[in-house]
Amino acid sequence: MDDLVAEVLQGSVRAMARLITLIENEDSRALYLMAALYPHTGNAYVLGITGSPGTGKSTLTDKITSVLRDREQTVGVIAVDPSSPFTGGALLGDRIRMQRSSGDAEVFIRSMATRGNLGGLARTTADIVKIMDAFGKDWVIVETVGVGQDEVEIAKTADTTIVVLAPG
Amino acid sequence: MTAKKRIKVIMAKPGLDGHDRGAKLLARVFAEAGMEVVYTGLRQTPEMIVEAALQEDADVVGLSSLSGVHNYFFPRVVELLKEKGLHDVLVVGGGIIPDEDIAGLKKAGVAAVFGPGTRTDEIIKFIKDNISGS
Ligand code: B12
Ligand SMILES: Nc1nc2c(ncn2[C@@H]2O[C@H](COP(=O)(O)OP(=O)(O)OP(=O)(O)O)[C@@H](O)[C@H]2O)c(=O)[nH]1
Ligand SMILES: [Mg+2]
Repeated sequence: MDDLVAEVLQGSVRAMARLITLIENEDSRALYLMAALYPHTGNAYVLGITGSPGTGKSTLTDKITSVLRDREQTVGVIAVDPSSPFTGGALLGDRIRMQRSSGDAEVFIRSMATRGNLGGLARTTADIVKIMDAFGKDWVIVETVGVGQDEVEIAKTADTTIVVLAPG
Repeated sequence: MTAKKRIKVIMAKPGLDGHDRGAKLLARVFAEAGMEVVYTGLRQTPEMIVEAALQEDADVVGLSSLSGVHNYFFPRVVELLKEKGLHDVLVVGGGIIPDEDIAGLKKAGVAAVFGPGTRTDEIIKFIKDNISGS
């Protein structure tokens, strides 16, 4: 498992994907790996995208990503959707509106379920941001769950937070 | 503390086929069975599907085809998964697949193929029984 950090720092997408799973699962064997990654973080600009359900967060994420890609920036995207409180399962649908980016191997998109956390993010989302940052992404964009009035947890993680509103 | 592993599934519609009722139904049914399901939407290339499986660290890739493109797309997805080192991903398919094509798809590495009218609990059981590392 120690190799995983080295592989992430060397740019292995597979290693990053697997490390994210371990952290997402709050696997106690993997928590110390975050400490090893930490010195390599702090370089990415973190953009939060939040707003009510269906207002266009994923669409906007896709558009911003393509503008950044035109400027030769690398991008990581974390798209959070709710877990069912009844079954623990989740339907993660944000990728549907990120078609432009999902054909681009330089854009790493990860869908995440909240797994019971309130506030618009999963408990481990901020750690996943750090992993993408350490991997070397210039930008990390976090799309929150469609939120109501007071879910502002993203503002603590992001450098800039965009609130998407439907007109009218 | 034990790891809170959940089965992660990519549900994809390869090619230009617009029949998405089965894929959407299964995405919901799998979520209700406790899985985390990424639905990619329509018109996916094998490259897009495999890139999604890689980034999402998927346990299962589900392919739905009702327009006769399975003989090209399903084996191509398996082949690309292997190229990317994703040997443990369980590939399952369904839709309108003639019986005589099933043996060839299985030979190519598709674990199982389910046709119209299959009970969804049968599909869930197959996935739970066959994913690796659980
Ligand atoms: C509804 C339907 C449509 C709707 C689709 C609506 C939508 N958004 O999905 C509309 C009217 C738009 C449509 C259009 C067309 N259709 Co149509 N359609 C059907 C029909 C009647 C039912 C399909 C369906 O929704 N079934 C319900 C779902 C829940 O079942 P399912 O998808 O089969 O899924 C089950 C299993 O197959 C399996 N499964 C499916 N996918 C997966 C994936 C995984 C991973 C797993 C594990 C299991 C699995 O599990 C599910 C649960 O049991 C079928 C005939 C039939 N009886 O199947 C024809 C059928 C699929 N259509 C057909 C055709 C030809 C067309 C058109 C080309 C017609 C035309 N000339 O315009 C267009 C093409 C549209 C397009 N863009 O692709 C043909 C396909 C022939 C072929 N492949 O050789 C069929 C078979 C009809 C026929 N007998 O000729 N169609
Ligand atoms: N007219 C119009 N439609 C838009 C715009 N942006 C997005 N949409 C449409 O609005 C619907 C929802 O868009 P998404 O991007 O999925 O919205 P979202 O906020 O990510 O949705 P959730 O993640 O489900 O909360 C889709 O059908 C989009 O095509 C826009 O600027 N104008
Ligand atoms: Mg969205």
